[in-house]
Amino acid sequence: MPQSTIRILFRFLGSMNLAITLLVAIAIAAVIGTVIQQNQPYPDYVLKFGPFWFEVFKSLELFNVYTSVWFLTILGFLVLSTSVCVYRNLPKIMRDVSDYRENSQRHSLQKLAHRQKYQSKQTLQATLPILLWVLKDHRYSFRQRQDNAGLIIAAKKGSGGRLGYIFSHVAIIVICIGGLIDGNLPLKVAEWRGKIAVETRRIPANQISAISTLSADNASFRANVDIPEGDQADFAFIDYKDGYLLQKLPFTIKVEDFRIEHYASGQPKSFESDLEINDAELAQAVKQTISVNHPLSYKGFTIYQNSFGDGGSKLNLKAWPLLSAMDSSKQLQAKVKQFTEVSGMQLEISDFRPFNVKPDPSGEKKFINQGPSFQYKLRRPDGTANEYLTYMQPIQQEGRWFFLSGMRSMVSEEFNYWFMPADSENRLARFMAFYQSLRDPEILAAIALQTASSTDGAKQSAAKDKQAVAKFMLVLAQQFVEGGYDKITANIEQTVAENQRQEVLQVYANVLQRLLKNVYLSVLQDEGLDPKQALTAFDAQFFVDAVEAVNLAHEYATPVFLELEGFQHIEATGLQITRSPGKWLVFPGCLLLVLGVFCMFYLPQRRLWLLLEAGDAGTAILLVGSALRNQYDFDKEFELIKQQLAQNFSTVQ
Amino acid sequence: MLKKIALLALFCFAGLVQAEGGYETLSPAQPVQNPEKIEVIEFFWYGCPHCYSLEPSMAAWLKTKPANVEFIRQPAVFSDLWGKHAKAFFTAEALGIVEKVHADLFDAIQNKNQKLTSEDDLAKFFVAHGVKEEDFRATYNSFMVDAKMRQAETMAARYGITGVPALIVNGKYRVTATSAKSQENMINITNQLIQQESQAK
Repeated sequence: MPQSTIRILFRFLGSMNLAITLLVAIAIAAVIGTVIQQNQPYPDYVLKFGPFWFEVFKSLELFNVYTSVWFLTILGFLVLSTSVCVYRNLPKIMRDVSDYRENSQRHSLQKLAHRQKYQSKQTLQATLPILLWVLKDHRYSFRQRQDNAGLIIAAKKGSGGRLGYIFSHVAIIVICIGGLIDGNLPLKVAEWRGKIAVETRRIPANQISAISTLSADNASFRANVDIPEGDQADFAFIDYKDGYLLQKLPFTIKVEDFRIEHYASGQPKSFESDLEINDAELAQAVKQTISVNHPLSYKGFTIYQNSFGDGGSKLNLKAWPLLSAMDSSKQLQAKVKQFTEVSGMQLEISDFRPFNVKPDPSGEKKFINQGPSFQYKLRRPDGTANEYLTYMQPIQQEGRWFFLSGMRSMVSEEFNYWFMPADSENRLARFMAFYQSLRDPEILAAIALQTASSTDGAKQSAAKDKQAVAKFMLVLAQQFVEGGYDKITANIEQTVAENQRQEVLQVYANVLQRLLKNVYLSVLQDEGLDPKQALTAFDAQFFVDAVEAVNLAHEYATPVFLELEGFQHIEATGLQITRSPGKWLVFPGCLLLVLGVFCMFYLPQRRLWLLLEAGDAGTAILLVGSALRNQYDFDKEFELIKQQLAQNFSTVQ
Repeated sequence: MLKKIALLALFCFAGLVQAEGGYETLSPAQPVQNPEKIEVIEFFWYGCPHCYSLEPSMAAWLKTKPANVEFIRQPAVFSDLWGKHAKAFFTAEALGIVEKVHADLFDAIQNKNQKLTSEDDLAKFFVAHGVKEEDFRATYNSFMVDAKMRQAETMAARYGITGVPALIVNGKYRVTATSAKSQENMINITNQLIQQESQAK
């Protein structure tokens, strides 16, 4: 490169314009990094921004701004630019700091704004001590120079102000380098060189391949791990792009206990973990309780209390078959975050909550606890899945108690709830007995025949006609169970002329109602209730609610309903483990920055000159001064010096 | 009031089923928390005299029980009053002081005629056992104790319990004073069932 090009490049890198442009760019990046929540799982962003903008933002790396290539590049350029600045200005400033400017020319000094002339009646030698005493009084240091006309005294103070420039610039370089070390620059480089690959599958830690594993020597990282109570781990996960990396730790973290307190609103109030660090190098395990903002430090690793979650709670479930009455209900045990086989489908329980606090709709109390719930997906063999949210206990709605289970086929949708009425013992048993009777062709056929025979008109009719009516009832009931009133209506619309539809629908509804009632009565009879007695208000209301629940059952779209019967809640503590040697640069860097700014503001450089000229009538004195900053303070000081001199010498206008 | 007590007493020592071999078989069998071990659950109520009289032999049994047995105390909830006492148990459990207060809770309710149903009464009891009052109240009203209570309400039905004391062995067998003919025999039957289950593994 020719000499001039280097100089142009140097001037460009060291220019104030570039530095300001870079700082503005960093400010904008920080704004983006604050507005867009960083380092979330990619599917969350797809939901939030839609697939199009997700792709755009992803390509701009807006989901991890601070580790993006462009941000690190800007940071790198800032380091370079500031370094060039320091390199170029350091010699000048060092010279300036040591230079008293005693070689300044008289005629140029006379042009300065701050000046005052005096006349001393004494000789130069006799005048000098007074002048020097005044300078010392104001803490100026000085040098003297003899010239043709007489003597020049050059004085200055506050050279630290110039050093402030150096301090603040070096501080920016140090902080940025610290940031680059603790950013995942080495990770980026390793990935670019093909040394590591992101793991995107959710698999147990011991199955993660070596290429997605980082050794315990990794000098700088920020990793997370959830450890269930009583369990231990010697690794953590680094969230990276659309997957994660496994970070090995040179020690084992054991979680002895996890404690959490809640507000009445259900919000967590405080949580803490009792940790035990086991290291082969340690004779005795390190034990410490950590909580939010009170981390544990060990060997340059810092372990923070970060979050909490489910540590694989064990749930006792009862699986009620919904499509066929042939199977009876089954007991099964499943664990949160593990897969279980249910009726040919894969049960994936994502979460268990021991309580659900909601604002009280009746307004009597502020909050009510709706009890435990669990959330799960039922994945069909073709890979598609519906998601469910089911409460363990009935929830009061309009004075009645219902078992609630929400269903959604897309994660972005809200849950649609299925309301199953709770029986007098607050159980699901009666509704399920009713529903399963409707699903059982044999029981249904028997009851249909009975219903067909019981009507007044039917008593005289032939057995063949009764059979036909019963068969019709059966078909109607099957349509109802499979698709609710909607299916029956749709059928009528296909087979019946428009002007007769209303009438036919009415007849169908009556017939169906009668059949359903008889099915319900037989369920009550099985429970041991006397069929001859009139229904209680509760039992009558239950029937209405149960029919409505059957009407909507097909929307629930699953062959099995899972009732939560019992649970063993196991909590997990969420730890963040960091190793950030860069902080040993960043913290001193910050101190240096404060020191630099302090110097620049409070130690401004000031210069004074006293030009002495020996004459016949004594000595002529000219006081001149200049300051780069804080003109107001300098004005005051200069005025004071002027007055002190005026007391000793006569002022000359 | 008398009627109520009579009713509770009925619950407390019920069980009309005749059982071969001194136990009843659960149908369906209930899942256990740890399949590696033999699980023994004791359903009890602090207000039940029979549970109290079983307590010394239970305590002795606990000291000699085989290592592969996982013992779980489960307060039964058949009424509000039972619920209050169950909540006292779950609070003690959450505070990690069950072993310290279990016998004293029985003693206070059975011998000293303390009701121990209100939060304030229980606060006094727990403070006397070295728990800070605010710790007790925070735990007593915590969501975790509430969740245990909700679970307890369904437990008796799951195991087909109609009275206490009752022992459940490995989610399969129910041993009551009636099935075992006498209270003393309950422990013997339980031991036999544990042995039988251990050999089956």
